[in-house]
Amino acid sequence: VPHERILVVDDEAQIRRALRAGLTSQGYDVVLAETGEEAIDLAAVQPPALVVLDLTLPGISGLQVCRQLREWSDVPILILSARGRERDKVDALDQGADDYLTKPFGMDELLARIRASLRRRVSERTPEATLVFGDVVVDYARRIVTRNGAEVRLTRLEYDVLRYLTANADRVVTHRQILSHVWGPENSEETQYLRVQIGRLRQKLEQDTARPQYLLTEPGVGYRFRSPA
Amino acid sequence: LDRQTPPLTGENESLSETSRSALVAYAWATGGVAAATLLFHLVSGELDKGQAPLLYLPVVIVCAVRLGFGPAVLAAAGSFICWNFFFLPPFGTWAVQDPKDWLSLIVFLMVAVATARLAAQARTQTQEAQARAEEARVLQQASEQISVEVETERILPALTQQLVAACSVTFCALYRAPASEETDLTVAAVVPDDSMIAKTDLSSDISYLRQSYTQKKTFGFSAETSAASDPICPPPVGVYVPLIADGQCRGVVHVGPRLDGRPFSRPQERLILALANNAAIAIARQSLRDAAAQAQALREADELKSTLLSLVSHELRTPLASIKASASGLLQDKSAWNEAALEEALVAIDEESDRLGGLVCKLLDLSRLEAGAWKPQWDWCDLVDVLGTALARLPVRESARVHVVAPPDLPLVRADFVQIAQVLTNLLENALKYSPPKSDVTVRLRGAGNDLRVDVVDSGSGIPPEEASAVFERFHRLEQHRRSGLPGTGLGLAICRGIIEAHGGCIWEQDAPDGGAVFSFTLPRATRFSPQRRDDESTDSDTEVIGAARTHLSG
Repeated sequence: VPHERILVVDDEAQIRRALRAGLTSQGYDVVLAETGEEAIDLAAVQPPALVVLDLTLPGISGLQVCRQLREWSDVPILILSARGRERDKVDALDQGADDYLTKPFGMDELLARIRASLRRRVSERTPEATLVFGDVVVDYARRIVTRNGAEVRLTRLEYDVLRYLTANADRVVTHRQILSHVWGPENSEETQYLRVQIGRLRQKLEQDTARPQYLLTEPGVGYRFRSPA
Repeated sequence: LDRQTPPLTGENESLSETSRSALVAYAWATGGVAAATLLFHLVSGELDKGQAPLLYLPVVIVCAVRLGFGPAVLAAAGSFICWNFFFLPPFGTWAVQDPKDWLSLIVFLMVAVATARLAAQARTQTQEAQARAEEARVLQQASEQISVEVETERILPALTQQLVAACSVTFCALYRAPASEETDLTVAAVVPDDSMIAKTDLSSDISYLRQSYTQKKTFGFSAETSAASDPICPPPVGVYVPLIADGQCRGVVHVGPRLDGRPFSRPQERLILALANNAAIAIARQSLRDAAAQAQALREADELKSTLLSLVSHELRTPLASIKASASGLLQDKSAWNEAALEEALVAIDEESDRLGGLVCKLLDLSRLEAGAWKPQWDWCDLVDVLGTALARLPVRESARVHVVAPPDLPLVRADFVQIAQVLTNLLENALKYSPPKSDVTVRLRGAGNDLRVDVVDSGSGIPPEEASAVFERFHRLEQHRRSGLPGTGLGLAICRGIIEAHGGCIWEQDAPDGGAVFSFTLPRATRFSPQRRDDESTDSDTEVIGAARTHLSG
């Protein structure tokens, strides 16, 4: 049973109530904050294992909170945002947030994201030499990808994109993050490069390109590699 | 007094100018007579003394026609004298020898004066006719203008311009009636420009302007000025004419004094009144049109409100009732619930709140689209990827019914990923909902010239051809679906159309030859709209969205 502390920052009382009930029932220790200022104070006094942060707050914005927390803490931050505000999500993710959820969301989804974020924090310390998903095996040491035992020929760009996505497994990475990591910061706006590489990776590694199971699209935001269950 | 000085000097100058031109006319008349005398003297050897009128009469007539009655009379008198003095014996004296010559002289004078009178009358009539023709032409032009032009913003300056040109005045200003009780008359058009009026001190004229508006009275025309010559209140600069149409005062036109400083002639007064009338009609027409547009908007808003109310009463209340019933049931004695019933109640709450959420999202999307607050965020998109996003939103069992046909080398397209994913989601939801359970739905993606084309093919009962375009209207639902009680809002396709049109594409429906509906849309491969940089893209803030929603929801 986890006893990790989760800081929930939301100005709406109904959401705070629902999240406290849902998270407490799963054994988390929940701390509630109504404003960004309060959240930063609480995070300093009682360092949480994870922060659930609403982006639209009175006073200092969620984005600002995100930026300030990142100055001294690498606590996982999960953003909550309204529908149709992809730009806000992208900004927050570029500022160092780990994941996002769009309201209204299901408790199951939130818990899954929280578990993935907490797990990732642990696994980051012990990088794996190989990764297995579906019928695909990625051997990082030898830079070889096999599918059903046969080698899949990946171009350097395809491999770099796959490497970056799997290194950030279960976490949303924005277009800008992938582009500047793989193509360099001067190409951080050239989404068409990325679209093409993702399309090819899916053709080589996914069963059905229209129903990808691992290389998932986060519409308007970026991509996410989903670890096999 | 200062104010009156320039027009007065103007008057003096012009007076001397008219007297000068009169002097010239009389000089011409004198000269004509002298010339005729000289000519008669040269040929007098050949002619009889009694034939002198043959030369004098034409001079008198020409003077009457060209110079007017006065110079003609002078010419007649001059001729009378010269004939008598130079050609009737005894020569060089006023005396007349032969009494018959007296008769000739008298008859000549009478004929000359009568002829001069007739000719001069003809002359003034011609001049008047010309003036009337000019007046008619200006009026004609003005009425053409207000029948051709629709925008008062263009009519009023044009009329002002005409007034200045036709009456040769220093300036002309057109004021519109105040929009509300608190505000004053506003300037609608000024010719030549404000500076001209600024130079003229009009401080005392403000009261004329207001009076003209409130009392619907004309100030400054010759008849009124003389009647209202008040030593305390100086006469107005130029004239003020109220613009009256439908018995309502729509504004005031202020015509400055004439360039030559003289009072307006009757035809000019008529012209000013007629043009003022045209301006009044133009303003009245505009306000009628505004009122009609407002009434139309109100009617539409009213219709929208009642449609929305009926939608809300059904589509929102049903899931709400289900959620309320399930949740309050769960709050009752828990021991009474068996496993299956518990699950059922919880699933009902979950599913029905999704339905509510979906409806709210659709209403918001449509209002954002219609308010222009949801602009495409241009990006390169892989349509297979976009379709994948739409498929991932469907329940797994439904998603499995969809077959995707796409070439492996489908080019990228410039579009808003999220919006096109929404279009595909809506089209797929409809296709799955309105076709038999477990039947296939096919999505075809392909390049078509400069476009990418998407077809969503279902095996339902299709859409009656007469309703094929109406299905894209908001709140429109097929009669058969409405009657069968299938839940639906009639919003999904309206959103699709809004998005596709914002992308410069087309969306349409055509039934498949073997039944079933085919919804198709195209997207220009490289958009006609200039691709924007991310930094320039407008982010739709909450306030915008809420504002847009409010305008549409509350009308």
